[in-house]
Amino acid sequence: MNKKKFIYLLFLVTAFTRFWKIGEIPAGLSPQEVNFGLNVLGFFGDWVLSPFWIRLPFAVLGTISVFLLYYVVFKLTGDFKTSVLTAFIFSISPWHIQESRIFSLGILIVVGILLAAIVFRKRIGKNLKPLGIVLIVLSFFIFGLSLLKIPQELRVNVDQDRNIASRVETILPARLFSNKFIESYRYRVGLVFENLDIGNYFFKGHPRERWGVEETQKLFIGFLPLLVIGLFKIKRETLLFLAGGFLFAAVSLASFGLRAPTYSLPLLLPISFITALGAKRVLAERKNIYKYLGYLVFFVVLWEFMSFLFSYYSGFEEGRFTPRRPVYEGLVNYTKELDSEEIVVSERLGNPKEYFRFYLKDKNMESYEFSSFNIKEKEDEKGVYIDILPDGAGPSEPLYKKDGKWPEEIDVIGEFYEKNKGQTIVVFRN
Amino acid sequence: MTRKKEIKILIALILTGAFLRIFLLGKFPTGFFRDEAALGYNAYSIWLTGKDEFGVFLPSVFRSFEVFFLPFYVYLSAPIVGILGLSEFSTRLLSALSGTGALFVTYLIAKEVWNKKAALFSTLILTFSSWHIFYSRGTFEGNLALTLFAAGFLFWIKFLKKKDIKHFTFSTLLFALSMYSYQAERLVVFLFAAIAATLSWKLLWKKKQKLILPVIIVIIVLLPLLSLTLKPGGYHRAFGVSVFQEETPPGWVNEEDSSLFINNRVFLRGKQIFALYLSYFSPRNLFIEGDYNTQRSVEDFSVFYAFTLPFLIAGLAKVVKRRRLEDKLFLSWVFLAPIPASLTGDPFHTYRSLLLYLPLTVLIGVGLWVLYDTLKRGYIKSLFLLGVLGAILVNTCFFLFSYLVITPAKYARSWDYGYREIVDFIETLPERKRVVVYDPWTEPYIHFLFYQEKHPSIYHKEVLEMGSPDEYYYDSSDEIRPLGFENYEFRKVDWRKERGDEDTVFVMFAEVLPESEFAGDPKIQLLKVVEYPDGQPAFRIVEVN
Repeated sequence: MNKKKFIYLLFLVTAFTRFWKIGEIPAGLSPQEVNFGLNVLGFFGDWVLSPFWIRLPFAVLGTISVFLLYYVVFKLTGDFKTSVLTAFIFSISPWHIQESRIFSLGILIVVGILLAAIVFRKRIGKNLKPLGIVLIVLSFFIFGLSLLKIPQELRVNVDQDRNIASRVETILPARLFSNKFIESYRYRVGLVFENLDIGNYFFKGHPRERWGVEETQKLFIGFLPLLVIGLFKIKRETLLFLAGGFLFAAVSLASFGLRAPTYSLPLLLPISFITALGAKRVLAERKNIYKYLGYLVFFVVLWEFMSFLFSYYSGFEEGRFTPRRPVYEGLVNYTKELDSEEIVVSERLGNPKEYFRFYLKDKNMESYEFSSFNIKEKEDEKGVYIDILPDGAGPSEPLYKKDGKWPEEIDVIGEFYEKNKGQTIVVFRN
Repeated sequence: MTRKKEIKILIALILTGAFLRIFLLGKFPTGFFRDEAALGYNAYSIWLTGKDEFGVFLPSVFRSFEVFFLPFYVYLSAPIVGILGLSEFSTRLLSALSGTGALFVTYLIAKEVWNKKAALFSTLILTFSSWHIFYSRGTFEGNLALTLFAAGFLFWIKFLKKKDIKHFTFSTLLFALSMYSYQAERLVVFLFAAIAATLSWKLLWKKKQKLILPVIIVIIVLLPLLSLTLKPGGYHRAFGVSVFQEETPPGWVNEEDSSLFINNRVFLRGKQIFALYLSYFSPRNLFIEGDYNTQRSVEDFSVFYAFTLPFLIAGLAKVVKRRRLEDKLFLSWVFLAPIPASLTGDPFHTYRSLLLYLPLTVLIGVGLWVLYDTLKRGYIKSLFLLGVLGAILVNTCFFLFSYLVITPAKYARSWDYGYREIVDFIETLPERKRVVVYDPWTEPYIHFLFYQEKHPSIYHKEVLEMGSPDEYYYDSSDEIRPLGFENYEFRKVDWRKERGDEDTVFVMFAEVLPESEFAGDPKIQLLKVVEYPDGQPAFRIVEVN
């Protein structure tokens, strides 16, 4: 087997999926990307304020992480097939591709874990079982500590339940069965189990998408049978170590209330490895029926990979709660063309000052004012304003359209619809 | 463990389970859902007249609300309702008894397939299972179907071991009866029979001559059901809720046409069904989130208690590794059970997938046995048992608190709470006036028939005025039902126009008729406000003079 060919192919696939159209896909920048750009502005100059340069470091790190993983697995197992399969699965997973193309804390964490694994690989390799036990014990410890941290919304739930309970029985059972500790326990356990949800990984959250959480395609369905096979093939000590690591990661995420896909990216490491073990087993199969089933699985993976590429690079993979705001680039460019001394931008747009600074490269900001306002109270203040009209807004909304018409007091000169936010950004003269 | 001790433990578990399922059955769950009222009233109608609410004699399915309920629950409930009287308790009793019976059947299955320790652990888990207590306490035909299916499975295993034809006969009959009880079984039994026959073909071939008669009996039993399959009465329910009713599957990009890699309908639909199927095995749904519908939920609880996850994994690992015929059949049951539910668009519908939870409960029991047996020292075994019992007790107490206190208050609306109070009040009115009950779906009529224990002939008369039900009963899925009976009307109300209708009592949802709509009007008198358990107004009963 020509091993170098596989490595070149891996590099080709990895580099292409991470660098091609990196400035355009995904469309729009997240607040984190914008803030990152503004933070490094002072070091590099305003040329860095573009999606391409903001995302480039993460694409580089993402690419490097694929080969770091290959190296770690090769050193721990001594097996080329397992290591290259692991790296391939890691590389083509939609999860890693998407995270490598944005500002991603997950990529940074993954690189950190892999570097640590390289440094301590010998100790890890010899101590899988005790490490696994330590990780499991630590998980319970962290979970226990996290119960003491009670989010505000849970206190409201407790009060509501006690109110209900007090109508039918004495306060003591209500306090016993409904208290902040119990609510905290339920909340944290719920968050841990979110990381055990099959839909979360394979179906973009479907059929139970989480409200307010960005749901993305993480893994291909074709990986699932390979993952199951890999679970049967893995050695007990390795399984214990990986399970301990998975549990530790899931509990840590739950303890800090972290639900976005970037934070759980490290979970892809054990998933890729176990899936690779399954793939290796399938490739080694000699019985015809299982061999053909294996081909079918690989065909499905290939199909899904192509389908994902088409969809992703056409910009169709953004979910309902994506943090990215593609509307801002067009909006800012539009305002540049306006012949106006001052433009007042409503804070209701969400981080408008940061986005305007980014796209204007932090220049000519004196023409813009960012504030909260109600246009109905600014009858005498002429000028250009930018505000929002949420979908289905009622008459209490300042820009409410009665019978499909804008309020008479304003002259609308531009509209930008934000589908994922369910609102229209309106540029108007007062 | 001695046989005597085993029996004592089993009896204690069954008695405890019976108590949890039967005590205060008429009161909890709070409210009385329309489907419950429909099943109960039709059982009452069958008892008194041999006909259903439409006046059809011994129907093969019950048309109520165009749901086409399968008939076995109604027919078995008829003598119960007839003897005990028409009430929430008598209507729900069959489900509660089925649930209690399932405890014993589960014990026998686990003992037959594994051993008595696994059997006792399984029964222990099932006794205190939130999902089983919940579904045993409502009028759920699916619960009866589950018990019948489980009993069918038990006798099938006995047939494989003892090769006795009477076990084959019992098994196939019980499976057939489960198909007459709930829709999901119509598909699962068929698939399971195909797999079971394939896995046991050698035995079946050897005994083929003796099997002819039982097979013929089962086919005759199933003929009425099979004959309905191609009529709306037989398929409307399944087709009505199927995923294929949705125009586009999830992941469809509206701005794009269909192509090979984007908007590929076959791939996206297949992916949707697969996602729905796998969601029934997702730990998040099984242990945390629960059913998406509040009528089938208990606040803060899902199907299983969270602490049982490791035992489920251990049990599954044990069964998968063993690979005996019984284990393969058991796993077939597990993997076939969610198929009907995954062909419908609803996310994690626990009722439609009810068949799944019994074998999973058994797997938890098996996992407990496996871990218990791996422990070497006696005192550690005792500590383990104590820990498990403690966890079960604590979780059950929290579940009962939520089930008895929190859920009735928060989800009373989902259980059609309030109609008993409305009927009781209207019956106290001195004069018999025209009563208009607001409901755009024209469904509360069944509550009035039920709580007033109206003789079925009264409603049959109204039905006949619309035409003979024979013309449409099995052949049409259109909404065809009287808009009322006697002095009652059940329909949408245009309050602005109808508020002047004198000598009429209106029963309206509180949010549809706020006080501002009639306050200060001397002609309109507020007679009563029916409140939900949490104190919020549910209905307003007003009289126009």
